[in-house]
Amino acid sequence: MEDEALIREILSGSKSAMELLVKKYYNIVFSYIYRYSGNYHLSYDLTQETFIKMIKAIRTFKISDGKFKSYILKIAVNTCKDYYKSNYYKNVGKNFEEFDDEKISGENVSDFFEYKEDRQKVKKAILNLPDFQREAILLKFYYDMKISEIADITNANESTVKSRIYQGLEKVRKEIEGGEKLDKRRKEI
Amino acid sequence: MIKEEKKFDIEEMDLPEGMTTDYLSDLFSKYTVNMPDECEIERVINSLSEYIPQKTKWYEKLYKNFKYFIERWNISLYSISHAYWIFTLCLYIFGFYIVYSNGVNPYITIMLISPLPFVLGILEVIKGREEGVLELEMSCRISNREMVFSKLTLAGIYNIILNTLLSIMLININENVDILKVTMVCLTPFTFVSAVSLYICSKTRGYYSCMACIFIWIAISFSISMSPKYINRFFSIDFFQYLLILISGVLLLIFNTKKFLKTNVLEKEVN
Amino acid sequence: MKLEIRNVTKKYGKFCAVKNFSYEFTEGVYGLLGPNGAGKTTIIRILADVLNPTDGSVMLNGEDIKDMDYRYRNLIGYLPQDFGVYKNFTAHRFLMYIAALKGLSKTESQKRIEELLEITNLKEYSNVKTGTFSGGMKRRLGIAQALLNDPKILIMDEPTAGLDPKERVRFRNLLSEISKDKIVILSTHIVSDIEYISKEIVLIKKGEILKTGSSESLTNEIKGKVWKVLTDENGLKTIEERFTVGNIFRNGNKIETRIISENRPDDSAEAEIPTMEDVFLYYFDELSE
Repeated sequence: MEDEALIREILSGSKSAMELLVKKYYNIVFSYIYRYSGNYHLSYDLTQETFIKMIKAIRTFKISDGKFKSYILKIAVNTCKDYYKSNYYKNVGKNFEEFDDEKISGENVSDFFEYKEDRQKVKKAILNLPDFQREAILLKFYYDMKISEIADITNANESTVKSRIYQGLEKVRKEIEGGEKLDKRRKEI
Repeated sequence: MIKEEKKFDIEEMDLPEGMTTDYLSDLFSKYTVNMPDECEIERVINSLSEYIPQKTKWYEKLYKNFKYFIERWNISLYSISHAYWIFTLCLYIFGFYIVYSNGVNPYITIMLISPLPFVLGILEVIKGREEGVLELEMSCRISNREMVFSKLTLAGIYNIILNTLLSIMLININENVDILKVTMVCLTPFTFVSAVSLYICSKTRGYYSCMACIFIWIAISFSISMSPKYINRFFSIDFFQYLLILISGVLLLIFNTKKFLKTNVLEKEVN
Repeated sequence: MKLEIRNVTKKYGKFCAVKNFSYEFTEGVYGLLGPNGAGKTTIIRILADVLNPTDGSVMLNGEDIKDMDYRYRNLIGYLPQDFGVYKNFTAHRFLMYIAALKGLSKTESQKRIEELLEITNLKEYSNVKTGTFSGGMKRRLGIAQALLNDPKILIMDEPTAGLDPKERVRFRNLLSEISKDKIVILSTHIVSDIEYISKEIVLIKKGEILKTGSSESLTNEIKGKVWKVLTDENGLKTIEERFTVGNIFRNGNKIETRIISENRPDDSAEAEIPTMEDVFLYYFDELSE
């Protein structure tokens, strides 16, 4: 069913329509928040928060404006931003990061380690970006949003978004290649 | 775990030198995400169901409201003290008695006691604050605002029933008593005195200010009873003028009930 | 279950009772410890949804309790610091009333009230007016009412105030029994109330978190800073001027003092194993009761 139809049904009180909508968008929201925060524990809660904000505001969602996907991603982006802005994060949130358990099972052990190492590198590179660059890059390369959509979601103009992505990519590369050079040097020694 | 082959449109964007779509696609696909299991999604769905707008038919709504008030009134009955019911009932019996046996002016009598059950009811409502139970009541499932409203409506309905009964009995024992005049002298003070008491109590929140309202009203009633010309003048106004007075009284009562609910409960400030 | 306080600030006019307070509770007993006026009661009231913070929010499992409204209050049991009762109510009627406010049915309430009066040792006073109750009995009635709805979150402000030592022990045992699947939050300025039963102790001073940790880790942290010094009446004066002094025992002319000091105060001083009392003294510079 189309998003529009689902939302109309939710507005007329259908619980099952809401279930379908949540199931459809859960992965998108969750993966964005996880990739932004790098923390599973936190992502569960922020995902729930995002959906609650969505349903509370669903009356104000204009069906004619279309694109529910960018609507809910915008809420997710702001939820993350608010969380990291808050002092709460400064006091409590940081302890969380130790909990991040990677439950990845590789078929082949050496593959697995290599894969895990690579993953860790990319993760670190993305998490080290300033938040506005991270947002833009995630939205572009994981959710294939148009520049104009990203501009709308992150409240910036299009040229700013482009330069954020450009600079962000440079930083990612620096981080990854820098790390690789270091690895090589270590191996040589 | 999701490891998507990423496809994205790089549009009109500039990419840093040497970065191709393939390179980026390969790079970003490495940052995988473990999706949570079903029960996590269920948790979200459960918490959302509270927020789904509900649409019900009008008779369902009516029934719901009816059930709601019966429940709340039932609870109110627990907290309103027995003394309140007994005292107010005695007041009316006494009122009837002095008119019946001593020939006291029935209009003056009913005017004097007609707002008292409600104003005494306000005392019952604010006693939670006086006795330090308010904070606990506020933490319960049924909000204090709901309870205050239900207690006020209960006292109001009880008051109107008592007034009606007394009026009927007075008309029955004395043929000269006019039904319109009785209604006038009991509804007018009921609405105005109740409204003023609510106003004063929402300003001062005090037990004593509520008591003061009662005494001031009694004093006013006595002074009116001393000079019957006021009453006669009141009776001489025509029906529409009276209707206007009554409507303004009711509006005043509604307005001040709202005000009372707000200042007494909503601000969530104890002390 | 996770109850979070996020950046909560509460101002009364210019006075800031709680400053940017953040903390997270999961199942278990928590003790908010601090001297009077530290802001414990303000935090407790915000958690009990009887006070709105000036800024910030409280979230249960990621949902703002303001949005949850009655659904949140349905889950909590609350004992206010100044717990009042309707004086002309009997204990039984009072509990029936509160049970009704908590949305319990009559039959449910009857059964539960029987149980709780038993647990709190008030059974024989069931039909006695609460106006005649002693402070301790009132407190026990308060504990009973907080448990009426079998709350998932139990919030108690100075729960042991007015209880005698025996009743305190009973209360602590009761809490350890029921706290398995609950979040229990106690505020107190009495160390012994929470020392052995709490999973985590939150030290609060001037509306902010000073330190958190289990009583073990808190006492460990001040190892080597607690000393026993033997002195006499003259020596006591100088010691009191120079150090934070805890308990003082007089034994004839000899005086044994327990003091807090970063360094060994003098050669004759013996190092002591720190207790939570010492932790309190160390951080708040005053004695817990």
